[in-house]
Amino acid sequence: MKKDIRKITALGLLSALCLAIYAFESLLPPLLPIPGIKPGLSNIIILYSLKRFGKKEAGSVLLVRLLLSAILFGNAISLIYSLAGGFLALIIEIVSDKILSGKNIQITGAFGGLFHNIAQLFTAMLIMQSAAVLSYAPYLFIAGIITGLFTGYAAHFMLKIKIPET
Amino acid sequence: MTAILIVIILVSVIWICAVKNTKGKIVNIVSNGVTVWTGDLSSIEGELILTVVGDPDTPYAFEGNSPQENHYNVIRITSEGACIIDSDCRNHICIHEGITDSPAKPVVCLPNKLMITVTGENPDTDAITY
Repeated sequence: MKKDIRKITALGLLSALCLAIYAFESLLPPLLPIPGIKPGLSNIIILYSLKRFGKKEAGSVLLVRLLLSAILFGNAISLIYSLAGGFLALIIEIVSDKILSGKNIQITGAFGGLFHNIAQLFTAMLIMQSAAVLSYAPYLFIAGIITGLFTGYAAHFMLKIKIPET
Repeated sequence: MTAILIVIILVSVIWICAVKNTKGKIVNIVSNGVTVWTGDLSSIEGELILTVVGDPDTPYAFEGNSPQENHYNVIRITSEGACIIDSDCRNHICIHEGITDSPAKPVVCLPNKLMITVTGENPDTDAITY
């Protein structure tokens, strides 16, 4: 019983942290004039939740963050983009983690970032009903991999912090 | 696994270099899936200002610069290309994208579902290399 409450509290904190990181990131001016390139720092929390707690827990943190950020900062369209990107990234990260046997979390993060952008590109193609947005693809792939690598490393160091059991 | 990522990065870099210098001639402005304006770059004298209203049911474009209530973009077209100079979207990424005269670089405003593409002479091919 005690462990469950601790877990729920931890997941709640992580969701709030993820939301705060996302809010902060949305204040930053766009680094490159290409739509969809962002640091993607909330991925750090998702990776951390995935490694520390598990797939379902990471999924719930992601869902909570997506819904809250859409309600607070976004609109219906942005929610569609975020859902597509966020969940494909999570699924790919789960698969990648399995394949790599939990090692090299930065590579898992890189794949997550890459597929997040792939999903958003796809969603943009569907919404705009045109394939012209594909021209952004190479930039989005490279940016996704690089930001994913960075968030993977950050999650790696975050996981090394030992939380005392009281 | 790392190898897959490296291959993707290499392919992307090659892709970017390959389309870098393509130039286009025909400007297409598409809003909510509907082509609201199209024209030839070389037939533009001076500059042409268009305001596009991205209404989901009936998107339309008209000459002039007049901010509307919802979902508008103001586009400036010269013989050098097209760019967005004003819009009501949140981040103004579309304005920062700058001017485009190449099929490799469309200018889009995702919140307003607007897309400006400059295609090659033949609508089917964007560029031909020999």
